[in-house]
Amino acid sequence: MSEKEYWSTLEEREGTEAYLRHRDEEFIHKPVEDMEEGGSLKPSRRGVIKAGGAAAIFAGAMGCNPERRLVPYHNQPEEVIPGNPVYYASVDAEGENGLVVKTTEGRPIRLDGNAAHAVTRGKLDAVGNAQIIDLYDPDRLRSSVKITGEEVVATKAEAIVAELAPKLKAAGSKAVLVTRPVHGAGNKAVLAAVKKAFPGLKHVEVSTEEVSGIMDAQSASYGQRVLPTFRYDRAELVVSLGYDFLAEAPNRVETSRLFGDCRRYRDEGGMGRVVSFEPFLSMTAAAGDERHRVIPQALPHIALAIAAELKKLEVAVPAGVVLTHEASKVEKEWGLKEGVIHDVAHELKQLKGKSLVVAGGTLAHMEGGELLLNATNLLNTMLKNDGSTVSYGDEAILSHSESPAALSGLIAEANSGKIDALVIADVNLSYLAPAVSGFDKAMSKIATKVGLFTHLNETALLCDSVISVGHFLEDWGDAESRKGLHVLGQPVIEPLWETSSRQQILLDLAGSGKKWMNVLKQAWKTDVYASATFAADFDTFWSAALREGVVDLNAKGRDLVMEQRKFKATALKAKAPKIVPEGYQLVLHRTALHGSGESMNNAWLLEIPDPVSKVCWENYVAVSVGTAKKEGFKEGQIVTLKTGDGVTLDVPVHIQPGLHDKVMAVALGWGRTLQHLQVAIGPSGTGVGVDAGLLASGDAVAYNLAGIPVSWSATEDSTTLANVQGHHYLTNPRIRATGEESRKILQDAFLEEFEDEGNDSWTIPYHMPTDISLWKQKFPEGSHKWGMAIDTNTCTGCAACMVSCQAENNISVVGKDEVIINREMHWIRIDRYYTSSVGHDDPEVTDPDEVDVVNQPMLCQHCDNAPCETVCPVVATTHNEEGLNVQTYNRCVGTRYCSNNCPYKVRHYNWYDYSDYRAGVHQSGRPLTRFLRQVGIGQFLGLGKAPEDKTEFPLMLQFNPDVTVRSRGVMEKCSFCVHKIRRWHTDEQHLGRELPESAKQTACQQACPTDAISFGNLLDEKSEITKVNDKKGAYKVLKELNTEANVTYLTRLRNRPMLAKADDHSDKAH
Amino acid sequence: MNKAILVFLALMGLGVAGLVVAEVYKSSLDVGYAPEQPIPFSHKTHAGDNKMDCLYCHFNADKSRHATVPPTSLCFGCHKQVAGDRRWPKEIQKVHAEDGSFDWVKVHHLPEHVYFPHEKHVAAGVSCQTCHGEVEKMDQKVTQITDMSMGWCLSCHRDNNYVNAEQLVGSPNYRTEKDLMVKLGASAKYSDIVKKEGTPPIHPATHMNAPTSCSTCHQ
Repeated sequence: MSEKEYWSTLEEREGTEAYLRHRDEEFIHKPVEDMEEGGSLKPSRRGVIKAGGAAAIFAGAMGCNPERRLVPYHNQPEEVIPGNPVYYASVDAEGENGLVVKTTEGRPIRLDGNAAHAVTRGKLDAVGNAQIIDLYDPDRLRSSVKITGEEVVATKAEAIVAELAPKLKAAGSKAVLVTRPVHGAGNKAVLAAVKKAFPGLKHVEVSTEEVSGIMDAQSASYGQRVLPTFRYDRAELVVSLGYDFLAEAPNRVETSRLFGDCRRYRDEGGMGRVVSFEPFLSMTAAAGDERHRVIPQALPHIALAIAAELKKLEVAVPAGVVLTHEASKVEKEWGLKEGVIHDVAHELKQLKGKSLVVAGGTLAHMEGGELLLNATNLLNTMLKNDGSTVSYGDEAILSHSESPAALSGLIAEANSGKIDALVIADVNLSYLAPAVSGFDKAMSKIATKVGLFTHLNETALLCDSVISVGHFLEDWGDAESRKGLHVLGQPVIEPLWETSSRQQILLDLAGSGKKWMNVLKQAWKTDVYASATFAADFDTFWSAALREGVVDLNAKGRDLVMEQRKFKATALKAKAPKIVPEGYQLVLHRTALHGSGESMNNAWLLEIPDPVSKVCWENYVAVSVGTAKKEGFKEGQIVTLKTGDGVTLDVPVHIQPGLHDKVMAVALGWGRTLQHLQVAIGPSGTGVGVDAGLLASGDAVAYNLAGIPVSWSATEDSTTLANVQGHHYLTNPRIRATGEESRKILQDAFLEEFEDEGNDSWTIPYHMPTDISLWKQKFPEGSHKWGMAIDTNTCTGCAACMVSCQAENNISVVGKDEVIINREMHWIRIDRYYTSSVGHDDPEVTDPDEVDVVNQPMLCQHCDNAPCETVCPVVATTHNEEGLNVQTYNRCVGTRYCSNNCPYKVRHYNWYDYSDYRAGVHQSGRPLTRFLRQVGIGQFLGLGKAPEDKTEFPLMLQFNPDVTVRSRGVMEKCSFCVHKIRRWHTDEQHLGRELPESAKQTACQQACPTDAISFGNLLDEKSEITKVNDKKGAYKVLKELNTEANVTYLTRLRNRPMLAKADDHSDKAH
Repeated sequence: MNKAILVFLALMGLGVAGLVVAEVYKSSLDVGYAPEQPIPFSHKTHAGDNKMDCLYCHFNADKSRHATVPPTSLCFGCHKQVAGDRRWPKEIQKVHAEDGSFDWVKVHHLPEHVYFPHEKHVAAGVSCQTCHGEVEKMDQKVTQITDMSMGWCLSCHRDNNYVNAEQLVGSPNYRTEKDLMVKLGASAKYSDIVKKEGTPPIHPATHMNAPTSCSTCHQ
């Protein structure tokens, strides 16, 4: 498709100076600029010589070998062999995913999904992988505290409990306990003990996920308040009405997996199709096939118009349902292309029972959201999807949690003095509930407030006293992830600080005098063990449950197709605004990385770029390219947003292709404001991002997160967003001004042309050189040659691989300032490319808002003819006998020639001792200042001592002892997990047989929820990797450079009619 | 002063500098390092006189990267029966009573970017003495006898001298062909070894190629 255009940034598309500079120069920001820009330090010649001298003395002093100590165990635990990891099964804090915890010498260092867990199936998302570093968070509450005014005093948990218990008793029915959803036999037993001790106590369960809308609609439509599992794997066609389910679904790991199953190109041909109607470019639509830009208020009308169209197509309508919408009128009114609704309805009818219409998340949290959700249910009933693709039989755990109505009831009761005592466990309601709900004010009306928290967060500071809760890896835990799917968690490390588990605190509060572990064991005996027939006695059962982590009592019932439920016509009585609003519409949405804001003290997640915009360390207001042009927005310009309610907020602008021209979108989950969160708040006093929740409109009972009328005004300020896309250009695309010829990096195709034998117009036309090589040697020399294949068709850009790699390979966080100057260290990144076809107004110009997205994970390609190896003057990067391109850190002297010569731009240089810092070196002063302080010279130059924010005690405990921690001046890159490969070889030697292929996975592959990554031995003809490499559409990036890369990519496919694409641009951006 | 003297002095200076560097380098490699240990434990008594297997105490050497110092409970396992605690200094009795542990001083140290797997070397039949010297003859202090530099590691890896004799490693009498060659000089023949040493030599039945790529030790 020669008329297609590929670009990764707007600069690239326009071929600006900035783009050319970034493309042509490997190191935009030279080290000398650190000196010149100075900031806090402008070193004189004298100063530098003095520093040099001091450095030499220090270096000399370091020559002496210090005495090192070896401290053996007194009694070595049987399962511990120092140097070999031990794995334990566990469960995460929410109880959604089963985990396998890797520990070395008693330190948990890594989390993986538990393969035995029916929901997780061995996979984990970015947030799940990053939870491990939360355990070592230095900012965790280290003891219980009493708070009086500004004063925070450490105290004992027992003292708080002893004081609280009589007060709770006295409060009687005016006492409230707020927790996260309670499930699992043990947790329920704890709750029962508390309820028994305090008979009047009211219990409110609040989920941090945005699910109440869907459950309320289920209740209205079917009389069953459940959270259904959407079975994307069973659907041939998914129509999303504004639901960014890959980012906002509560079961993200499962959703991604099912989505991958839907989208994967099948061996027998064909694949699922995903159509989105949405206001901004979501992660889901970016990974889907077809998208239509609409403002949020249009969504309920589109849903009802599809239903009306289905009725016209003689699909049975449930009794009592009256459909008045007319497709053509809705299309015209809300700016949709003519015939879209008819086409979708027609297609849905064809795939009756094998389709799925979804709505939910923050976009259903608007005026008309209720109608949208119920109309979606109507569609699924009409299409006979209910019970099959909408699986309600295996309701998720969150089904128990309350809707915001319960919360508003709580707030109203507090305001009217009906609550005397409140115990709030691990729900940061002050941040989660939008400011309009008035939660903070209501809290001040309650006499006794005790919090159970891991951090001194916003809600904790509103309490009188806070009991410190530990990380879930420090204590026992259990969950019922799905009906009958019981999961067990066990402590894998002694509590690092003076903390205990929520359950133990509640048991103490109830005065039960029991230990949590015993309660848990007893509950499992009576509720799990006794509810089915097991051949083994309880102790054997218990050991097995601990080992596996999972007991599934409903394994057979899990995949059943259920019966259709009866749709209640009354569900459609909710109203939606009928008039098309004028002006800009604000959409507040959640992202996959920072959903409810709990990741705001997790430096790993803060530095992971957003899956779509690729901006990290900050949120922003996204506007379309068209809007930016019309209003004159500049990237990074700070604007003041003002909602219809008069609330204002200053936010930087990000120009994001793919938004509706009347929509502005801001991500929720940012802008935590506490000084105790050291990462979230730098020395400059500004937090990370802004709290978009402040812009929510409405009141305590019903608040809107989408479709909020908004206006803007410019401010003087601007900022630079840390956008990593544009740091590593592989392209030299067509630049109109210079007429340069494009070089194609990726391969994408319409399903139609892909399946058309003999049509290869979609393949990259490589001009291969003759097969010449500088190397005489041909790899491999041994029995193995490792290769990887990545399916860009199922890659959703979720970044699970990036965090998994970070945990496995000790990858540093560099901080926002360093990211801005291209210095991020991630060994695997996900390049996001836009493709657009020639547009409508001017045949020469494409519409940058009508884009498709291709995610292309990029990592070291382990080339056979590696360009980096030929230029290294010290032979620090070489090939090993198994065809890996290996980097030898101790040999590297930091010339950076290799990085300059790498066509894939996957090498990363340690400009500073990044590994010494927790959240990058940006926090106080220029990097040079920090370096001088760090080596101990700073104080001689009047720069102060080593900075306090150097990696604090517990953080370094997460380091993987199998991988060298790199220091300053060293180049690093993906090693294909060479340390794992070496361990597999050792294990095979011990076992005397080969390990199965499933046991040999790289870190990125292990995490990938859509199974997009395969890895294995290319010399083994039966291996999975060989099979994938032989698939149709497999290609290598920049093959014409004759690098002989060992990473293969599979073509990104678009399951939509080809002709529709050309028409797409006719008239819908308005 | 004429030029010749200047040049001579410069050369002298360089020479001295070179010697200093060489000396500093050698000292950094720690050959001959024999620190005082917290308790006067004798390898000679245990492995030499009483012929205990090395792997009896260093029991992780064939299972893990680390050979590991034995847990204190292992010492007392035997010493409940033999050479009872009456004869021991008070400090040891105290540690014993408190379920404590000794802070041994590490003798052999590799930089942190070097990943030396004991298990692989044991599996390949490399004797303990090849790297650690005749520890069974060392009394209360263990001395580092090899420099454990990268060149020293590679000299072995390049030699293809691997034999497959896992079951024999750990016996204080076990020597590889390589150990004996070193002792008798490079020109020594296999038959000489048998004649002069009298110990049952390990026949070099299974030769393996030791990898020499960087990732073998650096990961």
